[in-house]
Amino acid sequence: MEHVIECKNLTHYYGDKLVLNNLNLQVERGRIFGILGKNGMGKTTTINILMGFLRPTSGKCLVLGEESHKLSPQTRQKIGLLHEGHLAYDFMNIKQVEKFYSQFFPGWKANYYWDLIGKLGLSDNHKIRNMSCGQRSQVVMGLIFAQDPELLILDDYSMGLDPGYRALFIDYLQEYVRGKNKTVFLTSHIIQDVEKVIDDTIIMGYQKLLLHMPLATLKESFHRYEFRNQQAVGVIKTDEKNITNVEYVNDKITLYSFKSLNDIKTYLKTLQIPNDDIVEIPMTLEEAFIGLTGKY
Amino acid sequence: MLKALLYKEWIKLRWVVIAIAVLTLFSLAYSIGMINYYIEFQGALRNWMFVIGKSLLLRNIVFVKILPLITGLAFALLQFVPEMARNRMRLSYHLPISEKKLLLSSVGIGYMFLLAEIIFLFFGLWLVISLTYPAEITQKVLISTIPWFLGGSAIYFLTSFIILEPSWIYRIIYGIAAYGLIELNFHASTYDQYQLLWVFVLIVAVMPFTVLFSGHRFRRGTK
Repeated sequence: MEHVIECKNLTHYYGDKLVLNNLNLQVERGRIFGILGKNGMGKTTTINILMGFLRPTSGKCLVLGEESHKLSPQTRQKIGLLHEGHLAYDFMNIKQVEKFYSQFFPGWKANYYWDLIGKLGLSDNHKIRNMSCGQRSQVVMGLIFAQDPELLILDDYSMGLDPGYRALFIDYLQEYVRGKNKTVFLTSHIIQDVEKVIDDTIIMGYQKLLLHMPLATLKESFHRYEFRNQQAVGVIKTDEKNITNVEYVNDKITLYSFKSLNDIKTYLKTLQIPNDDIVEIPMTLEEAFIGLTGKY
Repeated sequence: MLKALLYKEWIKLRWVVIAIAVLTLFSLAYSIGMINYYIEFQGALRNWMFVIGKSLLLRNIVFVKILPLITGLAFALLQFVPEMARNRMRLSYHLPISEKKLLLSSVGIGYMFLLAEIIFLFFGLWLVISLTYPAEITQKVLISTIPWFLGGSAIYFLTSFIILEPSWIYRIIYGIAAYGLIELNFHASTYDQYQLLWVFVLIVAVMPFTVLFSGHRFRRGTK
């Protein structure tokens, strides 16, 4: 399978501080990837390396077959970037920014831009600096779509957007990529929105990748179990094999695991913990994310 | 692509380009007034002695010292501060154009506007002085102002270089060095004092390339 993004043994330090440690990652063409991680887990560093704004201390990151920090202009033409905070040339107005960008992309599809701009109900002379964050996000998304890139890297697209603009963004993104074999790599802190659009999920933990799998597989294979037992509080520990995470609130015990209910019951038996009332509680992606990474 | 970059820089600079041109016209008019005032006040013979012996004309056109400096500084700030604010330069770096071409084109376009202002001022000055004084004096005065124009060019290139530098410590160090270098152009108080003008020309000629260094450091993610 062709990889649009391929990171091999990616390691990065800020001074003495290790941020990424031997990260390996492959992104296949035509899928939507969501990269999730708590603050300080190296998500922004990974995105900055992918965008070519940071040279990794060691390892390689190939984007469309070229090293990300020295992408050729031809390859950059095929990548649409949304920078954190919906960065735009805010000294330009709606018309000027379209005129400027259109000259760089031979396959410019102006209708995508003007469709989105039409929804704003603003005059073409409206300066970007005078727009709300939501309005600016429409301009930026319109510019990226008009560019018609093969790969879209959207860094924290939901930042500063109200629910309406977030929904609009997701709707347009879904409609834009449908049937076009586009690859999307996005990050966001609003996981319930991401869940609606992604095919694959990448979850980053401290200095490493915690998980990389299709969302459907994650939902099928990752479980949350709950039961009450005062004696078992503090007894069950996380381990690589059975228990991914465990939480205690008074006598309520919540276990997160890739094991089936029967396997967990058997495991608890080996620990001599009675668990007759154990039940599986369905999870959203956000809950699964917290289960994997912990609340703190 | 060059046309698009020219369009972007024009959007940033257009109002200041017009404002500086208007300021130049006012300054030239002020100089005509000053020259005439001194001739009236001192009398033609005494004025001639002051013009020859005390380099009076350089004091009459003191704005020529300041105008290229203000212009160079304003152009660099208006072009590159918006690019560096909130790391907006990343937008430019993702354009399908090589990093070198992007940086050199950006300073090249800015300098083209600066040069147009300088040429406008230079010819205006030639006209103003040659209206009253003989060609020899006009020539001496114009040659004496060249270091000031070079100072304006230097401040443009060095300010661009400093703004693009990602580290504040480096910016301060470069700023001090740039001040020393630019200040050298403003020592003369009499006509034709600079015997080594060509050295300044050579130094200014290599300055555009300094943006490649700071621009690359920004691109590489240097903190």
